[in-house]
Amino acid sequence: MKRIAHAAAAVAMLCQPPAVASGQVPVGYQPVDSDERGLWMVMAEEERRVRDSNFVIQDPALNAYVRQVLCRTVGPRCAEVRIYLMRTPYFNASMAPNGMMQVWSGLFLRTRNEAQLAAVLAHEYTHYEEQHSLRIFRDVRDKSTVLSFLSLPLSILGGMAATTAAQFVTLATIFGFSRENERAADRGSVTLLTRAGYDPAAAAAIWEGIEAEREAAAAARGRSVRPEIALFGTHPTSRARMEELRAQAAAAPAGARESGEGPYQAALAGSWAMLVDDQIKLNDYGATELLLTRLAADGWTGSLIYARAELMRARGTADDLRHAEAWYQAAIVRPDAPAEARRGLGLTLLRRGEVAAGRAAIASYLEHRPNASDGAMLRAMTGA
Amino acid sequence: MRRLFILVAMMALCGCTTVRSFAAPEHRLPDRPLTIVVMRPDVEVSWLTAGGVAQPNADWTASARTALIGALTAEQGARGNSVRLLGEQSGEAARLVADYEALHRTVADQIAQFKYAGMILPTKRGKFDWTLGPGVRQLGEMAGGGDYALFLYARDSFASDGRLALQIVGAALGGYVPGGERFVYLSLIDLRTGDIIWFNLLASARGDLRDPEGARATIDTLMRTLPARAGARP
Repeated sequence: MKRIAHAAAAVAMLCQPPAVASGQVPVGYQPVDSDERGLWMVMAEEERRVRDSNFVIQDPALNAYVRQVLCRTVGPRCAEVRIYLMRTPYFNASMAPNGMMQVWSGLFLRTRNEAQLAAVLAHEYTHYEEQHSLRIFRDVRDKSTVLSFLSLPLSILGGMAATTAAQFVTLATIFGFSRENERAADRGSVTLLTRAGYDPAAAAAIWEGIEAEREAAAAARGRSVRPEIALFGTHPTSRARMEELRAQAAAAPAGARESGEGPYQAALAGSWAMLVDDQIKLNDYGATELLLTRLAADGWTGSLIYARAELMRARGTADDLRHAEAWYQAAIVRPDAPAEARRGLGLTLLRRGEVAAGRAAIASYLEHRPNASDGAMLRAMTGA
Repeated sequence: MRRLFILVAMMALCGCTTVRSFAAPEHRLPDRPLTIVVMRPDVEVSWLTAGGVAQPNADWTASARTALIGALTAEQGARGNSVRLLGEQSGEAARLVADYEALHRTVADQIAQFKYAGMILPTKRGKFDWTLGPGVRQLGEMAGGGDYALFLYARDSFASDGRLALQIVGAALGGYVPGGERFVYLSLIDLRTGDIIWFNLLASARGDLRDPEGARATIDTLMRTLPARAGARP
């Protein structure tokens, strides 16, 4: 982590009007004016926390893969970006103005190929390159100043809450990037995808998935989908983005249209059991079931069959357990199913009263994963 | 930290300086020169825009961090103690430091809530027995040995011209618009037990942490209540 270099002459900055940010951030950029240096400082502090967080996925292979996809998509300037894969089972990615990119693990279950992952990375990179967060901060600051002079009582309340710098961070994160910036980042992502030889339709495909998942989650809970309110949203609605992205992809120049499913699946194989486990523990049966069905659109692979079995075992009705057993049995004969399928089969059999067969399956899991973190507990359960 | 901030806002409203410390009653500092391991100070200095948005300033923050460390070193030196800054760590060691920084933030928040903000836990009444646990020993080892660890948290802000104008308009209208404020706490941890043996918090509408003079005044005020070493007791 770079500590921000210091110079004195600070007081003069009080009266100095901030420079206007526009266009692209140049290569090797370091902030100069006080607004931006302050913003970078806050982000540098945040990055210290993120870097040392236990939520960061350390797996070197997965980290190297994501970096390689970013570099292919945005070119050599990927070196300015530090990627942190966060173990958080939701669909999200974010970009700080100092080049800190966070990608949440839930994203890997929702992007289905390398091109879709590249679309998200390109979108976030565009925020960085066009300095969107700095513009948002200035916008909020200027508006709050106007507000204060118009309405003194409000400013007194605001002033009390504003005694801390934390408020600054809150403003920058809660307000998020404006919808206009999101559209700009979407446009940037289609351009970068096309240039890198990826299928530009990948960007719209992600939003189709997110929209469908929202509907499935609501249906499973017996509620109607809460309408997205465009007026107060920091992002355009998924539907609007989907349509704009489709139109941009259609207008993209002809060229290579790679989707990269094979490399994507190979890169995720080692983390698959963890990703599935985290998703299932969200306890959202409807959304998870739909997610898996969508992923299986081109056929049920061993890793997807495993995931489906895990989901049914988690809900655990008598019928679920019966089905889960069959799915686990189907998974363990496939080479691409994780060894955890044997554990799932064993635990399911135990719950169904088939003690001997259950213990045998768990023993087989422990043979494949002798150093499993849950090994001691499983050995205690099976009396092995 | 939110409750702390509200508390500071309340304290700063009076436009004065408030200092209040707590110490573990039965703890005695050993009678010999001590080594204090200073954790990386959590410092942020901002300027307050007219609208009340605190805008962090990188230069001021850097000056304040340097000035505070200098003041701490001088103050402890005068007591015959030495100060050892915990250097930048990497890998597992960095994660351990991050864990303890997070744990300390959480505990300090509890202290602020239940010792300063007026909410009193029945089990903490008349007591000061917070601890981070004996695992903190590892921090001492990381620093090459030490008797105590010191955590420092500081927030400082200065009103912009626009904010000053608003304050004047506010005063003319009979209202009160807060300007710059500073808020600092120090917490001393026994590296053998992990117990927080002393905690002191300062909230003030005066002063300046950016210059060595202001930082020294603040640190000296805070350190005044630090328990003396057994033999040095007057």
